[in-house]
Amino acid sequence: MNKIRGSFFIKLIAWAICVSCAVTGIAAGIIAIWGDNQGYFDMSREKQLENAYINANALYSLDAYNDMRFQKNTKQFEQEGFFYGIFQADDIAEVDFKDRGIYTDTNMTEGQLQNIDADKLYLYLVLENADGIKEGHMYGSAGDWSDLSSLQKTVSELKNSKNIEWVGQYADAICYERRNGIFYYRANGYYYPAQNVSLYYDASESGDNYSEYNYTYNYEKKKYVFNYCNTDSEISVITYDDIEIGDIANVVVVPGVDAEATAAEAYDEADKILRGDGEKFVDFTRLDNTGFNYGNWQRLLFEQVREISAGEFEVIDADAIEPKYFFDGLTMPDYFLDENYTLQVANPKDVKYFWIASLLPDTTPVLPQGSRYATAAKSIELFYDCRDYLGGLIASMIIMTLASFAFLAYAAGHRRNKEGIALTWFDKIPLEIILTTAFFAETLLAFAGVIMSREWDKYNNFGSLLTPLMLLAAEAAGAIALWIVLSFCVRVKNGKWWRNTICYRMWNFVTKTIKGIYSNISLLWKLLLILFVKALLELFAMAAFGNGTGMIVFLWLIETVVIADMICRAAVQIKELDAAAEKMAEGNLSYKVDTKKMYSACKKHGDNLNKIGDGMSKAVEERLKSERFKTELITNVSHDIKTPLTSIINYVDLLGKQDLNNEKAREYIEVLERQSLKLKKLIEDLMEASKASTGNLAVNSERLELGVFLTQTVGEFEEKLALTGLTLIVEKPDEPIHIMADGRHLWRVVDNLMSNICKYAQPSSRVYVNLEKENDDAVIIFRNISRYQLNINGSDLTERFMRGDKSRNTEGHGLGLSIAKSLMDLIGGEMEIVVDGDLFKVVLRVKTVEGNA
Amino acid sequence: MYNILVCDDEKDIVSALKIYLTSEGYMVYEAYNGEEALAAVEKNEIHLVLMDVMMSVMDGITAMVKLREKSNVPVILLTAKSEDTDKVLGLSIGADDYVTKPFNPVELRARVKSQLRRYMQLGGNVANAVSETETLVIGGIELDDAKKEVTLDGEVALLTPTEYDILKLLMKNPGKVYSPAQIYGAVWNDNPYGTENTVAVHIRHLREKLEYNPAEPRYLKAVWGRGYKIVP
Repeated sequence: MNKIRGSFFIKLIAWAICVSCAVTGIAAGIIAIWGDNQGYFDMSREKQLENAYINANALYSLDAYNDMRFQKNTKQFEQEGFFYGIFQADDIAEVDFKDRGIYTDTNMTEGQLQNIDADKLYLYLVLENADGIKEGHMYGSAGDWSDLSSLQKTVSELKNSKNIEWVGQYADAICYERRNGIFYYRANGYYYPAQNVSLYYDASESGDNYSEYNYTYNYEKKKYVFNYCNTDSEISVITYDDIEIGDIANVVVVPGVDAEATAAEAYDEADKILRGDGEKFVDFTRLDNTGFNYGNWQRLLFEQVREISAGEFEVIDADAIEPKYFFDGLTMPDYFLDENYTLQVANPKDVKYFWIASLLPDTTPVLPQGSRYATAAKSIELFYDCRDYLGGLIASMIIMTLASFAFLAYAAGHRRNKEGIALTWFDKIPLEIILTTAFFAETLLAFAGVIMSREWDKYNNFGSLLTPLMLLAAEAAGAIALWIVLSFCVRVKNGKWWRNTICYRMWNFVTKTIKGIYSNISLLWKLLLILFVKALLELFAMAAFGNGTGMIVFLWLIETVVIADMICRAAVQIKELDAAAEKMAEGNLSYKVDTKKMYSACKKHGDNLNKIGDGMSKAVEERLKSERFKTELITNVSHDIKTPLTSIINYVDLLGKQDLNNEKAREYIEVLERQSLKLKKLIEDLMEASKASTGNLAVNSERLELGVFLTQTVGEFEEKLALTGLTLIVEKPDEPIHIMADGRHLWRVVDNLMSNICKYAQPSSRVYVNLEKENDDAVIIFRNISRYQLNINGSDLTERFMRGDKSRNTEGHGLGLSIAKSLMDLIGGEMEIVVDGDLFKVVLRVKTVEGNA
Repeated sequence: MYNILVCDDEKDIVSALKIYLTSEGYMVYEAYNGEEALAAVEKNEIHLVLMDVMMSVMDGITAMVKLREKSNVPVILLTAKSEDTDKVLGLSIGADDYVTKPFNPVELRARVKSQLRRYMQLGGNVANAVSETETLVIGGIELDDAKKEVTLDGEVALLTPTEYDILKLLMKNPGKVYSPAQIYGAVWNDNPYGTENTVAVHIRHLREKLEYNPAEPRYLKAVWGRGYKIVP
């Protein structure tokens, strides 16, 4: 499988299959949907062909109309087999299609005219309004119209719904027609009945409620119908907001209040009349005899927009008006009053409409090549032949597309002879660039496709997707899409695909920059920044929610400034404490924090820091003093011991040179000599140990080559080792290993170690000294087998006066390893002692230096 | 017959030194502090002074400074102080040599002999120059290439031919540090291939023959990690 998914050739094939199958499948799907919409799956071939011809006729009809309208001659209609006649008629039923006189333009011969078969005559309606906007409608064959009146209705509805415009007319008055009790708007001299009217009874002055009586105008009976009465004590002032706006304008009349009208009986009577008095329709004229008659109406609210003046309210008589509210053929009024006190009235537009009658050609004869008919016939032929296989084709195309895509997605990023995911140059381009480029490319292809389909449309009524060029464009588009999807697969497989996007990079850059700035600025600036952002947000919030009244903003400002001041002070104090702690950490223990002006919490911390400083410096001082004292003591005592020791050694020596015949005396002198020399060595080592452990030794570091060093060491100890029968085996690398160290100190270390080995190693055993390089460290390892049992661990051995055997019956005083360890510390290296049974191992570790200086 | 002044506030040490030096045939004068030492030098013809540093009345350093105002007689400081700084101080104000207590009588004797030889025979001058073309001199060591003979303070040292060659190489360039490999190459005319150990062993043998205290060599010094050199 690895081989297959790595193969470029197989991928190329899969790619081709995927794209071509997808495009073919989609094309087949579109054809299937189109066919289904047309009902072609259940039709006979002849019926299909007829439908296709009817479609062709519609296209030809529009061409013919355009040619007539613009006085052009773009098509040889006769040659293509299209015969038509253009005429105008309001009532189709009265048209005599055989009369040449009705046609404004026709290419039908006299014979064709006379033999017109209504079933084979198809009508096409073109509407064109004043703006030149055209609409075409195919209406089917002239012989098929079973109900001409319904068609007529459709035509008039079409005309009115599509071709009216709203004309605004200033309503100059509200009128009350007193004979019949009807309210009118008056505009342009015409009277329009108010569709919705509310009458208000204002009894607020007498402590009573408002009452609203609502009515709707009935155009049939030309009377108002009572809807409801609202009584609401809450409505103290009638404002725009209190009254609902209906689709139909309101006239609001507020009955006035006079002494008579306020009488309860009078009001009850009026209320009865206003509620319709049991009838469906209200007769306002009955108010004439009460205190609520139109002469007493005081205040008028017109459409809740404004109070209208008395001059705008007119009382008129029925014979003076000429109501206008219907348009031809419409049952509903087409006007309304808008908010601007303007009456919007529907006005029919000047619409031209033409009928194009065309002959449907016979399906049997061969039609002129290149005509729409011929192309349609060809398309139908193709469709009819393959309509039964279309479903299977689509399904198999989908399966093949999915299968090849699945393979491509699986194989994406794999290459032959390469482990893991291999990125191509394409996969390395940021995603957005690819998507943007692809978007433009696909748009370009789609645009090209549309242009091609337009050109093709004139000949082909089968849907434009079947053009070879279109298919090619679709394939290209598909290939591009597939390329991008597969690249995305590779990116996902490679992990973290979002990293290779411009958005991510920008985000990354921005966050990094912010982080960088943020981490590099001091605490004070950080806090100020945060406070600033917080203040901005708060300000924004206050502005946005409108809570920012002057006082609150002022208080907020004071609060912000106070808090900012406090926080900044705290930050400065923390910074001071931080600086102090840092200074102390660096060893400047005498540094003091000024805690005088600090907050209590910081002050406490600062005081504690100061105390720590004091305590520490005291401790350090004492320790230094004690160390110095110790060293001095050891040095002085050593000096004082040395002088008598000198005498002892000298006189023992002199004594030994005396002519003594006493064997015992000779023996004793030898003991004295040996022990005095041992004492001498002990004193010297004691001093050295003291100095080395306190670092009181001068260090002259220089460049050493450890190979040479070991050679020299071996030379020094060769004889001593041979004396105890020890075999020294030295292993070192061929290349030189350089270190920086004081040679004499290092020699002393090795001297001590080798002396120990000479003293404590099992006689006649082997001693190993290895020099190695481990990374940057030079490592010298000494290994030997101990003569005595080592009942102590490695680290204890470096303690002063400690000896492995604890028996103290051999030479040595236990300072050697301690000195060696101190000296290694002084050199800057490490010494580790490992005791493993009888194996005694010492590891010296020193940093190497580069080069050959 | 040389006159040696021994000055130490410890009478036992003075006595012991007197015994040693008298047995070598020197005439010994005694002093117990700096002032006495200066007076003794004033009074007698002294060829060499052995002086302790830490003494009551006048310490050895002060006495040295005063002594140097009049005389350039060789002075060997005897002291319990063994730090490098002490040695440097003593040598820089005019001491010729420095022996730390407790000292080895043999070493002390050799140093005395060496100082006297230089002072008396070479007139107190620093004379490392090659007096004859075939003779190399470093301190008390003389190498006569014509006779293939090496003497230490006038006494013939018995060297093997290899030791002789190594010594000659080092003495040709006093102070120059030779690595074991260089020495091997020059003496054996061969590449060492891990046999540099041989050089170190020969150097030690040389030290045993030419140094009074091989553990603290005066002439043949090891420069640890680099090689060997000979210093005057």
